[in-house]
Amino acid sequence: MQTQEILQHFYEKEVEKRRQNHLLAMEVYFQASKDSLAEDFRKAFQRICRQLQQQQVAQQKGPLAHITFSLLRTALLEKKYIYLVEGTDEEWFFDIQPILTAYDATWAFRFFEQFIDELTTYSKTFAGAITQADIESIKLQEVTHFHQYVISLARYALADIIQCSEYMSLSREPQLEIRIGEYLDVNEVVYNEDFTVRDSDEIKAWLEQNLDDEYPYEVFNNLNLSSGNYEGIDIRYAFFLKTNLIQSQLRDSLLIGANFSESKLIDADLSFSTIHEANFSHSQMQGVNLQQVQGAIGLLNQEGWEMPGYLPVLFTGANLEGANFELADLRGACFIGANVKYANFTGANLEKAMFSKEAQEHVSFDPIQATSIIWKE
Amino acid sequence: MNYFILSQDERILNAVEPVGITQTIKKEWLTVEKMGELDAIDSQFPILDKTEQDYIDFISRPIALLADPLKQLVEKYNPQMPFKPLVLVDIPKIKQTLYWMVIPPKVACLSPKTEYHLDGTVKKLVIDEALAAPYTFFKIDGIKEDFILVNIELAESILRRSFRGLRLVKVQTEGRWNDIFINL
Repeated sequence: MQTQEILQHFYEKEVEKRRQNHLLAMEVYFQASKDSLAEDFRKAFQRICRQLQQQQVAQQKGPLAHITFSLLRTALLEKKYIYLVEGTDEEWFFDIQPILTAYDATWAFRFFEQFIDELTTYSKTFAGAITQADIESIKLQEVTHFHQYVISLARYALADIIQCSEYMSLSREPQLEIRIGEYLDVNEVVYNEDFTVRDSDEIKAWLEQNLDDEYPYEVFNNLNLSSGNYEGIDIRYAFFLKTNLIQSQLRDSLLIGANFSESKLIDADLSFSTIHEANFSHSQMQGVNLQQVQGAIGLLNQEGWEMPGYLPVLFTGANLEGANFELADLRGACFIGANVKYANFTGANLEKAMFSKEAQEHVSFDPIQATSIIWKE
Repeated sequence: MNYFILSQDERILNAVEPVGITQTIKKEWLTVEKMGELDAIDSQFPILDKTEQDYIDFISRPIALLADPLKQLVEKYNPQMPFKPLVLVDIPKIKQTLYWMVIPPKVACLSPKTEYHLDGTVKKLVIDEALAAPYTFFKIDGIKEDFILVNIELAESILRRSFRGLRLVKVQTEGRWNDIFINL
């Protein structure tokens, strides 16, 4: 066989198969360890903010509009899993004097290293046709899959810790985005804030137009969007902190990763929506309709890894009195500290969902639910 | 910024090897002053016969040659950079492959921390980040060696694409980036 053919064969047969194995192992590790990883990320983020703040003062840098974490393939080649962290002003990539620090993401690449080691060992059976140079090439391409976990963790951890004093002491523009991705290339928003004063009615009208691709990752905090008709809307990973959505129509919508912390969703209709990774912590959600929502944690497809599995839907400390969860799929969801009096969980899948023990007094769970729920003090 | 020496990856088997370049092209012609001389030569060269030829994207010897896709990427970052075409001809297979000679700027960017051997060759190369800052693809003024340096922007861009046969090795620097990365 010609060398090119051998490489092709190696890639299709061995690389893809082993990649799946290691990503599935990574997924298991990630779901099990996400809270301790989030805690580590918190500490790292606080340190990063401190360092950026010191530089901001020393270099008399104006307010930041962007904090960008970039995967460095050049560091990867030296087996260092370092993300460059840049604080930039409104000019973003055109800011010629960014303030800089670094983030060590070794935790996310342990399974990646094992994957590459395994490939290297196995490549030796190809009698020299597959060189270290080829393995390095494969390494540079395959890293992106594992890098997705850094994005997933950052989003999960930042939601809580963004109020930390180190972040608050940074001089910031009213609009700030935190992004993670490749150096000067594709990246994703993991946190977005916008304190500019905006007109609730204008925004509501905009949302009611149900435009394509306009709303994901956007910020809609502190607005009055109540009684709106947003049926079928795509607001994945958007931010609605402290926003009023009382009696709004959000049926059959894409709410993956949307952040509704401290918002009001009283009597809102979110039935049949996809709500994986959505955050409803400390919200007022009395009488909300969440019938038949899809919100399970983990991989959509247990057989094939396509992206990191979903993290839990969070109802932590929310007021869910009289909420309707009939036939909802809320595997792994967190209801700790939530008020679930008179809530209807008939037929809901609550496997590994977390509830405070008091919930048992107020809700009648069926026997399957009662045994598959994780009860917390 | 971080800077990297761009070189040919010697680990690749069957890399294509041009023949006869040294006899035809003088190294001093690869400068802005003398590059006109390159227009007068016949820039087609045969290659060493091999059962398999791997047309890697970067050839180091005897002069630096960039395959067309790599040349286009470098050109995006440096629209004014002079390039001269050179064709490698596989006579038995009647195949011609386009490569490019490049004339990068020579930049005085050495840090005083650079160390030398007694014969004047570099023992430890240290680049001053501030002096190198405006450049993405360049040679170093003040040393005997012919290194091509690439900044991290271009380096990362290269590594995101599937170029073959090149290596990027980090050089030590003096400046802000060194201060950040030194502890990691």
